[in-house]
Amino acid sequence: MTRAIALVLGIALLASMAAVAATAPDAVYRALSGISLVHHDEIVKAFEIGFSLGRLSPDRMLPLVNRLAAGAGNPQEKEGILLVIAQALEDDLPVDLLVDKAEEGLARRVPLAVILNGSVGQSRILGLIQRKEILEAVRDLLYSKGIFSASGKGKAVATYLPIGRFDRIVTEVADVLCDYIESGGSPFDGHVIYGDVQARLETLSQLCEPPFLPEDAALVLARISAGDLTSVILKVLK
Amino acid sequence: MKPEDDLDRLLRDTLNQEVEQHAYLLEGLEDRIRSELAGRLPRAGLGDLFRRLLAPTRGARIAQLAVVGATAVVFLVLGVFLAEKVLPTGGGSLRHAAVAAAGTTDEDVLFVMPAPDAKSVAVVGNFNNWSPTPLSDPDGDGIWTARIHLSPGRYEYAFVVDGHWWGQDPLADDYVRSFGQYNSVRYVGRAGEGA
Repeated sequence: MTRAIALVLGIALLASMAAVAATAPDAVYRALSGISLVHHDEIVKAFEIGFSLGRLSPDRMLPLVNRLAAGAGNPQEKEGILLVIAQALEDDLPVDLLVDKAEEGLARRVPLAVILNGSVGQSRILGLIQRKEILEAVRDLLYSKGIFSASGKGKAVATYLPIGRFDRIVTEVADVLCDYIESGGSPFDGHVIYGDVQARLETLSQLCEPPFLPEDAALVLARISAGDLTSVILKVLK
Repeated sequence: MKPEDDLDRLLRDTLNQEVEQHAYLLEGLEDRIRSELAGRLPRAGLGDLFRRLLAPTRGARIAQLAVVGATAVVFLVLGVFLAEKVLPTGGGSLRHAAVAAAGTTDEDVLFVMPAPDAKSVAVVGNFNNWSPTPLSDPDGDGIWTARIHLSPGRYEYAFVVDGHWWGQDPLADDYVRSFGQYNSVRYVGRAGEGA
């Protein structure tokens, strides 16, 4: 009888916790129904990949989707924002940077077209499309330097970094390059760009509970050069 | 007698000899097979447990079931509560939850904005999904403040003063351009620094 009680209680506890934890992605999918989407299925499929890999969290995505659903604007541009994030997930890229910039843009009431495509006016504004290109170019740069991501829980071997650590480095380097471009920096000042990347990575790796390990920062800084970073920026700005 | 008949007899004799020599092995064979099969039979499983639990035998059994059911409901509610409070929904949250549980590296970060004539001041940043967290000025001296609990990391933010964004906090570690405006940057968790 005691075993039966323990069994029933255990099942009840596990079932209730699992049920609550599993509702979060559904909340995002429900919120998506508030936006007129032509590519609904593709977006949901990509989000599922993101949730499963830990690249996207429902509590991070839900506010953005709710904001898009509640705000005014062209439905195609709203969908465009979601599609860039979805395509980044399908292209095996981290999306924190994109989600954050989309949210910031909406909070600042920046026109959806600018959030999506950027603008070249008095000061250059990078849209999500350009930011995704920079993420991709940085990821490819790391690949070309022999730094790869290893998915799953396997320990890092040589320059195969666990996916979370690899994503974090790609995100931070790309973010530095985006900041540099939006600040009006010249792509030809490679040493300045490298200095910015170095400052960001070293500062983050020196924090009490570092977002990434000092050895990861050292690995990247040892393998990339000022010229590499110039090439990445030129590739995106061309 | 044909040679084939000799061969048959030889084979029969050999087989008989073999059987006689190993006859002792057959003793108790049936019992051994029975006990072996009994060992392989499934034990009373979950179904049996529930069948026994649900068997309409005595009133006492019904009372026991009621106790189990009530306790299960309590655990169900407890599970929902724990899941909402404890379970993370993303990779970043997991780290933050772990850090918060350790209680060693998070900081209460102080945000200060002097705005003597302002009616409302808030801070928005990537720590609150760019949704306003209000600052307060209880003594009315025009210095608006808020303390926000943050994990170590790099944060971009701006103040919103009466609806206008202000991204150049004098206390910031750095500044970046974003959407043509400034954002302040704060690093939380530098060794030897606090809020």
